[in-house]
Amino acid sequence: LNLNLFPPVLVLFCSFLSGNFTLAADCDSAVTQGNYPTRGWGLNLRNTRYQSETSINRSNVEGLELLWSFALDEGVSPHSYPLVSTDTVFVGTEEGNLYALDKDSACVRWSFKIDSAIRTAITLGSVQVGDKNKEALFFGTFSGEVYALETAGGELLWRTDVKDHPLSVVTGTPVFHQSKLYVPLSSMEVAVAISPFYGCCTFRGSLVSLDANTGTQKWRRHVVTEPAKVTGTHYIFIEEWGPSGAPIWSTPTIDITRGVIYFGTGENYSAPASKTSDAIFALNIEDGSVRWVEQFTEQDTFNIACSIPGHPNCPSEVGPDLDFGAPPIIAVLDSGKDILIAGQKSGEVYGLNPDTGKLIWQKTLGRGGYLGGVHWGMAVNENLGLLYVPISDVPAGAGEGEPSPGINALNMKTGELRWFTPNPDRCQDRLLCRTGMSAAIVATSELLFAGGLDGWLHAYDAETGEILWTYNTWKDFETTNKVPAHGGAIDVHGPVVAGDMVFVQSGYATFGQQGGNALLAFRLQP
Amino acid sequence: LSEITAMSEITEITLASRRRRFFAICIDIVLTAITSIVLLLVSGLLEGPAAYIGAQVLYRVGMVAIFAYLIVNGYLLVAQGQSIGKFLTKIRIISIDSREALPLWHLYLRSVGIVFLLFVPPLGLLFIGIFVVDHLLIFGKLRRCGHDLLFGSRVVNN
Repeated sequence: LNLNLFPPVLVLFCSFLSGNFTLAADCDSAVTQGNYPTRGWGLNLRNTRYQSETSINRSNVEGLELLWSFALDEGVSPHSYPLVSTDTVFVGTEEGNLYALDKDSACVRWSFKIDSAIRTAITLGSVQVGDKNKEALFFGTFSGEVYALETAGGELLWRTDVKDHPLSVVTGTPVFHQSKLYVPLSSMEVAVAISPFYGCCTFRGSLVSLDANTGTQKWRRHVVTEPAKVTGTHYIFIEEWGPSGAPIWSTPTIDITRGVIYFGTGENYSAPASKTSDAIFALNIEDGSVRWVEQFTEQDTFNIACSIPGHPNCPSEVGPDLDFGAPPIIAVLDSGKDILIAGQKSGEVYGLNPDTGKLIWQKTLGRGGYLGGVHWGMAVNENLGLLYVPISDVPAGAGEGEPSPGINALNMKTGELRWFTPNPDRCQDRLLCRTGMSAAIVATSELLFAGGLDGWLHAYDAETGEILWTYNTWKDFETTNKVPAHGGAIDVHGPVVAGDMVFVQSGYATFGQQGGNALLAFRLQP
Repeated sequence: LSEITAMSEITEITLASRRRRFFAICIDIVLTAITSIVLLLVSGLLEGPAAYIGAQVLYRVGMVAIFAYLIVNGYLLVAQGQSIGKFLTKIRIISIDSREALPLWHLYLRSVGIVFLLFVPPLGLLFIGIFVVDHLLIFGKLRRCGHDLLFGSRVVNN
């Protein structure tokens, strides 16, 4: 009996039992540390979604060609967003695998398995372990946990449960800043309310600050300040609760100059409505105290039960469900002043004073609905002074007027429309196909990359909106990992641009779109 | 040979018609569902958020349905080998061998055992498909469902 083997075997066995373990690699090269063109969801702390580190421009973009495709396990709605280093792509899956892929070949350098879906982008940071500073990856899960892994080999550094409600989930990407991690919490209670036996609703959205070195909580700020109380009953026995909801679906935005962290909130799940739903928050980053809150839609109480007429869990006065699904952007105007920009599912975009939250300008770009309007994220090009806004406008609880799916470019200072490029209607009668531009987008100095619910990925001229390059991702792909992959709707976090490459996940079925599991990598060909 | 023997016995004691069996099961499903709803409301088993994590909803509804079936039909099963549906349609369950009523646990498992498939993680809601196939076997030559074959029972007219 070789006793020396006992400890590692025991660790492996325990890891297997706990559902967390690192799997063998299929390529022998190691992850190079220290050089990352992207750092998280917003590509930077201000969530500008602007990528300066790229060689792709309007004169060479036509040379983008598919380099490889990788099947994100066998899911249909991948929610993760890749983190890209000089040689590695880190991406999560619904099945709970985090893969570190070779950027050139997509061979797996390492993978890490957890027992829940990975729902966020992968954020880069560092963790102090003893006297060593280790480069780390952070991400959130559908089970309401946050993980920290070493970039080099995928070893678990820590794992912490940030839930304060059983149905909490982490969908907004944690942000790393100065050894702290800021984690937004949303909830599946909005969907569970469809059960008439459920006593709706008790969840309250919150932002949690963690010590990035250990995962221990520093502070938590609830969006709805008072805990839910019993407000009535239905079917004699089932207690109804409120106020509730106001989840934070998206990643927060950090304003280093002001020492502030901003985020947008969703609707209340049950009555009474709070003054903090469908709002933009500004918190002091040190202690989470509220600097200001501005609400943009009042009395918005809504949950999925409202899709069934007469459902007892639907609030008596149904709101329009107009969350802020896209994170706010803190941008610098040509005058040197800052502006805070927020886009809402109503199809409206707001320019705000970042010191007070007061409105500077407002622009309506779509008719809005449950799925946007502005759904997942906008981008800015500060050199051009332009804000880019994708509009979804799929028919879901839609507002009045004609839908206008496509990309808008606004003057960041005034909100004036500079150009609008409608998404070409390629769906015709294709089942599950929609023309909306729901996914978040990415800007570069000369281009804008955006994907549609119809599965097409576009590169636009940043100044004119002309479509310069397109690729249809709605098809089957042969993959490097030999797992069948098919593309579908491009939704959620959208494309990533890094160096001479573009990455995009294709397929998303959560709201009835075409699902899929393809991670695609494009590279400029000489 | 045993199947042939069984067939000849069936003709002697008049197997229940498919139509009667269909109405009986419909009545049982409706009564069990109504009782389950009342039990779920009173117990609050689905009222809190913990009930909606993982497959908890399936498990809890399955348990309540099994319990509800026993409440609704327990007495008649023991006394006469009948559920309420079978009582109202004038049919009853007997052993294929002895023509006597089956023991209670046998009758109970025969009736609700399929619901326990809910608790087998790889199956889950597949139990609905198994339930359908089980009952479609009534259209076979033996005019017996899958659970009749499994538990050695047959359903006959009173």
